[in-house]
Amino acid sequence: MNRTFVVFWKELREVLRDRRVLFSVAVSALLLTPLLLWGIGMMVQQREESARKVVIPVALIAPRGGEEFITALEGGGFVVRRVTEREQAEAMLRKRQVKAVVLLDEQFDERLHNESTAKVVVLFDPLNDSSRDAVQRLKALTDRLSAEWVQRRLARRFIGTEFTQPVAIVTQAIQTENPVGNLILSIVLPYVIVLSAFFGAVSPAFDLVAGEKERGTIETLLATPASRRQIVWGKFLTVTVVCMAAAIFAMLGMLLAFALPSSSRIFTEQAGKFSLSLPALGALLVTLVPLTVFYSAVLTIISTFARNQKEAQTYLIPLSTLIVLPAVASMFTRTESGLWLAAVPVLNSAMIIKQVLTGIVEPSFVVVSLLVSCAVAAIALQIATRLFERETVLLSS
Amino acid sequence: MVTASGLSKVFTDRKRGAVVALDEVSFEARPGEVFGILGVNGAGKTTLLRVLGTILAPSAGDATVAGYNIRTQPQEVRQHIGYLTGSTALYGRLTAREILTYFGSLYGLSGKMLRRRVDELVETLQMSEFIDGRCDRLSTGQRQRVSIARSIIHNPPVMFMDEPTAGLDVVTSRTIMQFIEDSRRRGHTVLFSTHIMSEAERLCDRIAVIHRGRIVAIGTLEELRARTGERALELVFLSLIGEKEGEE
Repeated sequence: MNRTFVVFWKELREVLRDRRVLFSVAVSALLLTPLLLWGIGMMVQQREESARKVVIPVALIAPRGGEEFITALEGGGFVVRRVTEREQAEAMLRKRQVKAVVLLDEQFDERLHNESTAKVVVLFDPLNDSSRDAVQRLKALTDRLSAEWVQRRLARRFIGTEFTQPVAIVTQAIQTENPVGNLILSIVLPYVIVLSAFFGAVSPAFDLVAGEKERGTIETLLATPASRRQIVWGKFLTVTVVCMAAAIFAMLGMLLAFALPSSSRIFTEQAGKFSLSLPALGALLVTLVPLTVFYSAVLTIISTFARNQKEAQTYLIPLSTLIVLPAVASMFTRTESGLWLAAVPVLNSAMIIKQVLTGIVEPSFVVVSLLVSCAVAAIALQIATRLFERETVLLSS
Repeated sequence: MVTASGLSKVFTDRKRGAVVALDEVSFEARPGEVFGILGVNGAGKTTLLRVLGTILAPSAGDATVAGYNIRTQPQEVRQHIGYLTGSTALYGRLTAREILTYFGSLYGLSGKMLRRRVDELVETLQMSEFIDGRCDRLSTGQRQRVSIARSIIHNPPVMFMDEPTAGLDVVTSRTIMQFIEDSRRRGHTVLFSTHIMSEAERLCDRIAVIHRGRIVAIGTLEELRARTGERALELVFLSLIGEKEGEE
């Protein structure tokens, strides 16, 4: 067997027995991600339910009238505490005794009946979540009441409600090849895949070269007939496989999380309705090849250059920014973007994944992206090989 | 057989500039001979073995190992040497058998031949108790036996041993010493670097005293004694490197 593959199989066997790698690549992706999203979904649901049930205390200053509005408030889940002075009401708000202060116009009833606008001023605490929730509830209530009063005003003049809406827009989504859930998936999945592929392989990559230097096993390996190129390629192949596995497990974990009912509470009701055809899956895997080769080569460079694993971790911190930034950018970048994005490593791969998921694949973008990714990966691999062949770097532990 | 002729190695250090680790080293070690390389820490022993083992490239000079040139035939050189250091570090997540199989494959062995060779070494080095146990659970002595087996899996005619007993207890050191004596009996050339006088005295047929990268003397123990007029190897050594009382 070629010595590159001898090294590769040995390293792979060791990696598969490393609990840290198994946890970060498989367990965390398949178990923790769905669990985390399920937990967040439950929290969102709980918060929504408790927000619906909770009775909100508000201070009310109503110099005259406004009884109909006040009755609606009390019937709409608010506890009304009448006060006369604004300072007193603001003090109650600051002490969090009430969630908001409602100030009714002095001519509230007159304005309402004269077909003018009766103002309701709401004071709230911007740093308090429940105060902001109270404002939302008050707005919803006022909008509902307002709509009722408009109807009454129109009815008095024998005018239908259509009068207030000369033109109405009706939207109808056409039947698409991919379900709507794929749109939400296309925002989250590229980000998760490109990050997981990189960070999932950090531990084995650093263990394979820097760790071997640190433990003192590299000298005996270099004394075998295997050339340095064969050794580094064997190690590089192992890291590439781990990168790829990390990406695939992250994808499976994310799909599992999206399939859970709780995902609809975090994103939208449509989140759980997604599909991934076999050709799309194949396209995703093809996209991952140059990306994981690039990641693996970069991690091998750091691992070779560093004297030990601790030093490698130090170099990782600034490099992580270069991976995280394009990953985050992919979440906010439109699928149909300029061709220049194809020249940005990492982001270009994330964009292809996005295009595949939404079914809006631009062939020129894909071709340029893959060419750029392959070129960058080849350069990184060449640097890693050259570095590994330098004797001073290898024996610098 | 190992021959070195004017072998030099210069490292470039950012702070210290050019550092001469080996300075025109020449010697010849014959089959069936334990050739000692005696020197203090930092004298150049490890660098010499690394250059001869083609782990490092020489800056000047030349050498042949088992008839192969270290500059032009590095892979053949590595194919014909066994390399053992004092480090007992192994791949902790592999079993002893897997390590032997791994190194055997790197030396080009495969199939039945490899399995037979592993079984042979298991018997010779009495490793049957722990051969299928993970290396991170082995004692230092057991790990050193695995290291020895790993270094001779391909039955090399030349052995490079770089302070193989460093940090080992008496019992484990004894295993190494017996192994070196066995290698000599089998007609192998053994290059044995050490700074422990008693080991050199007991094992080496000839000794090269190395100091600051230069070989200052080569000979049998008796020849070195006659040259310095000292009896104890420690005094012989100090005399040769010019560190004896009153000398610079």
